[in-house]
Amino acid sequence: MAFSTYTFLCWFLPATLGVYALLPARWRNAWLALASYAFYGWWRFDYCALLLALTAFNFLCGRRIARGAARRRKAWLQASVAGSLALLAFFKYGGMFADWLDALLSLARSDAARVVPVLDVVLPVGISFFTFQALSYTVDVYRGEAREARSFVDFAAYIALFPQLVAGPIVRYAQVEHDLLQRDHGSEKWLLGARFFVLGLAKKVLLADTFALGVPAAFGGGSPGFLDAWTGSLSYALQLYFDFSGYSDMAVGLGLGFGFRFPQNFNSPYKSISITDFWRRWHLSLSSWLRDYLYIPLGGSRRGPLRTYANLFSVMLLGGLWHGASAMFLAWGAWHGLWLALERALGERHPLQRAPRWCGLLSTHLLVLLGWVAFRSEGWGQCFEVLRALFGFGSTPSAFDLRRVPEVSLFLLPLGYLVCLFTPNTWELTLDLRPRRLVGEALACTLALLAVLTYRAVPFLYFQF
Amino acid sequence: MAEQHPDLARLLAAHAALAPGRRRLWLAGLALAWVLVLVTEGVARLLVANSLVSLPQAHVSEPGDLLRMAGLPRYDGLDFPGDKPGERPADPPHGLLLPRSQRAEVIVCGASFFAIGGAPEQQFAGQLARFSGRRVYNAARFGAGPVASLLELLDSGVLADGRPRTVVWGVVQRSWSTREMRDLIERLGPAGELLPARPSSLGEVWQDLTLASAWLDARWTGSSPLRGWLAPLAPFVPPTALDPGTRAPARLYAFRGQPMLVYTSAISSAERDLEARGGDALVEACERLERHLARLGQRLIVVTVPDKFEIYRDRLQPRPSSRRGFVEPGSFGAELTRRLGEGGIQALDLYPALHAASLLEQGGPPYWRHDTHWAPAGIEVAARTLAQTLP
Repeated sequence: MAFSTYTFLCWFLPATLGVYALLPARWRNAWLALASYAFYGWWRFDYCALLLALTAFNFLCGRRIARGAARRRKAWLQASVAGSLALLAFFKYGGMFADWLDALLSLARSDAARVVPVLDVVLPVGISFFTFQALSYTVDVYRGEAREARSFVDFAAYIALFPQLVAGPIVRYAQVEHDLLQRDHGSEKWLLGARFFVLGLAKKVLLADTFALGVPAAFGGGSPGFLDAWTGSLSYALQLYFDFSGYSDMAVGLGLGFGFRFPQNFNSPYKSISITDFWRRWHLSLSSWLRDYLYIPLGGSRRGPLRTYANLFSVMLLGGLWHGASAMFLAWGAWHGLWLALERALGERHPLQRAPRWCGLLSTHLLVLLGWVAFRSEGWGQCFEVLRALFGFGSTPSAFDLRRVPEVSLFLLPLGYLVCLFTPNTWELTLDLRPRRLVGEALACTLALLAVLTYRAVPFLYFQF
Repeated sequence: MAEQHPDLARLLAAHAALAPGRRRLWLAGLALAWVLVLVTEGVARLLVANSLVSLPQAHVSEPGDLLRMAGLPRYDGLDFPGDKPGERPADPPHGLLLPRSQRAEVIVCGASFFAIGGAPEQQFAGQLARFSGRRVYNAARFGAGPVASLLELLDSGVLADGRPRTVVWGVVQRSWSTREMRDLIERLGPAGELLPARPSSLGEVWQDLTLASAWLDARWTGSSPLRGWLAPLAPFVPPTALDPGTRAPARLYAFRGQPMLVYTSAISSAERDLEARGGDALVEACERLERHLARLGQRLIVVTVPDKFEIYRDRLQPRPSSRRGFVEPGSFGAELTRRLGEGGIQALDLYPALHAASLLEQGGPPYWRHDTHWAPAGIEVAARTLAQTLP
């Protein structure tokens, strides 16, 4: 069930919040866990068992880590990491591994028949998010940064917490440990939560879904022309940002509605002036997760410059792979890893260091945009097709043909970039408490709801990861 | 643990500092917007429940919704075998045009109207052969527009063999605009010489911009969420949706109490006379085409097919708003035929014949109700009319 659907907005959310408010404090986590499983089961009931199994396994490992003898603790941590990653690998990368294995085996054979069966499993929605959350729990407990969960119900509520279950932000256990045990529900939390939710909904429904219309111009198949490629790529950059950050805002807002404080996931990423800066602003919960649980354990920047570059590169490569089993995600990760390492190597000697701010802004956005082309493409063929068209070498003779470009995109693309570059983000907007903000938000709320009720639903992009 | 959420803590502190009355007012404002929308939605649903074609729900705008809601098949059930998506035989590869067309006396090319019809003898070309007694070859391809189909024929070199033939080029009324004809205008020189396909240039951007208003008008419906928000008005304004087959925006009117699908591009086409479509450029392009074919020893007949909307628009319910400034029914085709005739080009406007057929309905209605194309009766009337004027 997506947030921007009639069922969620008109039935699920009011019912869940209403019952939650009526229940005494000690039942609230249980109710949240139950509602979250209902939320997940709405999509596929049988995969609730998977979620439950992952929860139970990591709860058990966490308990052993917290209470076990010193030498056994590490073994339990390893078991937890291996188990969780194995689950992720099977569902997310199993198909790819099976294909590779088959290709490898077929090298030694002459006939074309497939030896390894096609592994065709349905990817559980949000598995990348909740596996990483479960991992953060056992690692935090092992490191002593968090205490073991008080009860299984608390832990199940944490893993399945529906506001952020399927598309993040990745909330680490240490970040909500306090709120899980005890939280207050003042009207300031409700108000702030409602504002976050409304702004996020408006971003998703009014902005992201509108920009989605321009994306097929470049990625809808066929050979895009020059303008098609630019419209499609810019539209996708905006769609992805408004979609994912809108979802994150809605998650933060819903979390506040239930008394939880979630971390910030986006900080105006398209205002960044370097790729390094970009990763301090884009999908913060993932980049900080990768930093704390991957980059630093790998040695971070403490083992000499070469090792630092290699670490940066490999972390970004894995970050790309996290999005899915596809060479295009790997390419996207490698692209960002390359620039991160290069910027680190250049340091103060970076040529843009002394250039005006807009130079950094523009060049960074161009690099990010090229990354998104790979990210969005279904294969190398499409990726190169769009890239060639972007640089004016498209294979279609009518480079400036506008027939594939929806007129809405032409009007709204500049507007979208104005919003990205010059307006405050949700976290800055909600700091403004002047009455006219209320009018603006009520209007956004009305328009977004109207759009939900009358317009076709576009699924959240990050559900697929 | 508040230090783990420094930004959120700051925001919460700011909200906590707000006077309780203001806090409640703010929450109530957001809740009010919420409730208002839900009430509006409820009212809209009630209205739509009593609409003209009883739509089961108000969510109009998803591709295919319109027909699905009205419970209609894509064609009227009188389907041509082989015309359903999936059943249609694959288009012949380019080279296959040659052997059969070399024997043909008449070559028909043009929009999808000329490509459909099921078996070859049921298609327009087949019916033309039947009524005229000539050998007719069908070079129209489904999915290719009139210009693409024509250019394919010109580029193929089929016509350059010196054998005299008549080339029938059929164009649907809504395709007569400089935007649609741009590719043709670009490819023909003043003396009718066929220019090589030109790589694009910055100049085209300007051309695109000058044509943008007509284009926006034709395409605004259908793809914008703004249109979707107007869906609750469905009982009063014919709903808009994308035709599932061609993905073209369409509207659903009623004709004699039965639903009738009309392309929005055909509606906006009815507002533009020859002048508004860049008439001089169109006539000039046809003249160049005629010169090109004359140099190859071929004869050109330009056929204009009226849109279904043009034929039925005075009989649709609700009445298409007259504020839109429609030109007189049938006047566009007549005017174009007259202008082309002045330039020495043989042209045929099918409006009178098809309009008469829509009134008499001998052998069935000339157009499908749930599709933009002509039905068997329409093909027959058109082919018979053209056969009478063949030299």
